[in-house]
Amino acid sequence: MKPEIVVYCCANSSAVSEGDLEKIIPEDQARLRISRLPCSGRTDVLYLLRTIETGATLTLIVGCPEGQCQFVEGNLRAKMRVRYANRLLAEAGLGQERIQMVNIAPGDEPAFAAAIREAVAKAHEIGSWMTPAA
Amino acid sequence: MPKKYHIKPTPTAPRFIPVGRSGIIDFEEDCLKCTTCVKKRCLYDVYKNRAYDARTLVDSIDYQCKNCFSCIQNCPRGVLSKTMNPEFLRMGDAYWKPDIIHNTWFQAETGKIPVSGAGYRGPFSGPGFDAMWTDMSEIVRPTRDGIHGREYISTGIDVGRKQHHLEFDASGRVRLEMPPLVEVPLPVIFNVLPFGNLGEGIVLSMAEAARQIGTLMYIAPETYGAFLNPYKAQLIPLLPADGLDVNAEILDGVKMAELFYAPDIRQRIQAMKSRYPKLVVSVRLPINPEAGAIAADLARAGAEVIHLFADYRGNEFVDGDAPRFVKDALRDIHTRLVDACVRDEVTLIVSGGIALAEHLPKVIICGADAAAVDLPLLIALECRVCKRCVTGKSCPVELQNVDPGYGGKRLVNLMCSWWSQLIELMGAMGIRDVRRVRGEAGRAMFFEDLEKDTFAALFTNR
Repeated sequence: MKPEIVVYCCANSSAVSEGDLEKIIPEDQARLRISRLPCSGRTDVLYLLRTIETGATLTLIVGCPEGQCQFVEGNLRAKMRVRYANRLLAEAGLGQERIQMVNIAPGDEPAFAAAIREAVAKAHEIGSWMTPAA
Repeated sequence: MPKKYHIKPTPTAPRFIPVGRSGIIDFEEDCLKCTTCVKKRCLYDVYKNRAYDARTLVDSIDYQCKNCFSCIQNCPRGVLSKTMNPEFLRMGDAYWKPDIIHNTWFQAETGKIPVSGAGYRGPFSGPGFDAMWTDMSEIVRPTRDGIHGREYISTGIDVGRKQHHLEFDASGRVRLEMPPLVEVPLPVIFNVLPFGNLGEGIVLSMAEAARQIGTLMYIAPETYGAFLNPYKAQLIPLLPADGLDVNAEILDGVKMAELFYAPDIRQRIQAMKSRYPKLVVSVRLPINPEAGAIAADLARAGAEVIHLFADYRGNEFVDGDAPRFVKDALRDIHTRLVDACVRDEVTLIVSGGIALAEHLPKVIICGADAAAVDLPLLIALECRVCKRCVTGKSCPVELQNVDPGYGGKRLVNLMCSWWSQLIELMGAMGIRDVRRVRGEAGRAMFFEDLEKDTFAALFTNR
């Protein structure tokens, strides 16, 4: 089954489009969805859990490097929330770190592409948490 | 008293949470858990009604927030901050700007005129229709309750050929045969969509709205089907330049048809007229540098209606990097027809780039009788102008599944808002009939003309 990956992307860090994502990962390898946020600190534990709940294999949050957030500490907050959401998922029996966060400097496209490729590889490795229909 | 024309809106919530303008950032970890929580005191209950759609990745708070900044300013710990939503800024393109899409969604949802309560701090001129200011100086205008109730303000137009004068025979009877006319109570006709026509639901929504407000809609033969038979009185079949079949089923029972322009257009109109004498036949003519001369020839030769169309961003079809905008090209064509003494006989319908309610009176002032709108209708059905459908990708708001009942209401709401704004503007100009707004360029100011009048003598080389 094709893994589904939701990318929450800080618009200050990497303002990418769906087309850019398709260039990194061909459509037949994974289903990538992207949501651009004003800051990675905009993410909410609710967002993260709901995306996993609706069937995403993995959620990736892309924020600016620590210390470079336009909202001072938005990326640090996002990091805390990712940790918390992963703990909640582990309690529910999904302990594979399905929510990941990377810090990428604005304009660092190779690092962004590498992060996406890594996330897709990880998604292939852990597989969907939903049991395939019999 | 005869009944006044009125469009009744029905508030219709969107199917998907719309992309909102604002982006609230909440550092909730710092919350003091105090008793004066600003989230509970929100006047619009946006925090209480907050919902997140994980399918479309949209948070309802961004759309519902009215930007009063009360929560941002009053939180004792200052945990909230606010910025623009990058998803909002990415919507549409250089012409169909996020604000246009947002405004249209609001009108389609409520049927009300969008009002900006925070004052206008933006620029006072811009490209396209923004370089045009309408006259609002009529002091003895009807009162507001008059405009929306007591007074008669007509927004109706007659589509078809008008006779220049009457002729009488020896016995004093009128000798002329009156050409057919189609009365439309609003100078808006629904055009075929430039893209995004994803199914019967959209066409049926348009047909339903056209019937409710009494206007007409264009239909391409490939979109036509038996499901449109109850709406025949609303349809304008759009026929190709070649292979005209005058016996086609689509022509049966319609009031008006349109042919693409071709050099032999007169014979083709004749063929249509001999089969359906009561049919109003229109000519669809692309706006380009030759359009003015062709339109004047057509009007002299007895054309009933000319539909001038620009591309969906309002630019004329011309090779090169400086196409004229629809308003400028239209002023030129209108003036040519006036000079040729044929303007009053022919009806001009204009389409392309008409995005907002204000563009309707502006295009009429530039010389159109009516406007044909396309993309605003699709946006009213929640389109985000992402153009994924152009490349065959899935629609984020599933336009293929639009229910005609819902879609019809959204379109009626949009037209209600446009109609309210049209009569508001006519009231302010002191004009009570939209037919009199046509070509009233003296009641508007054009930025380019003003700039030229003021500065050309100082700064251009002689």
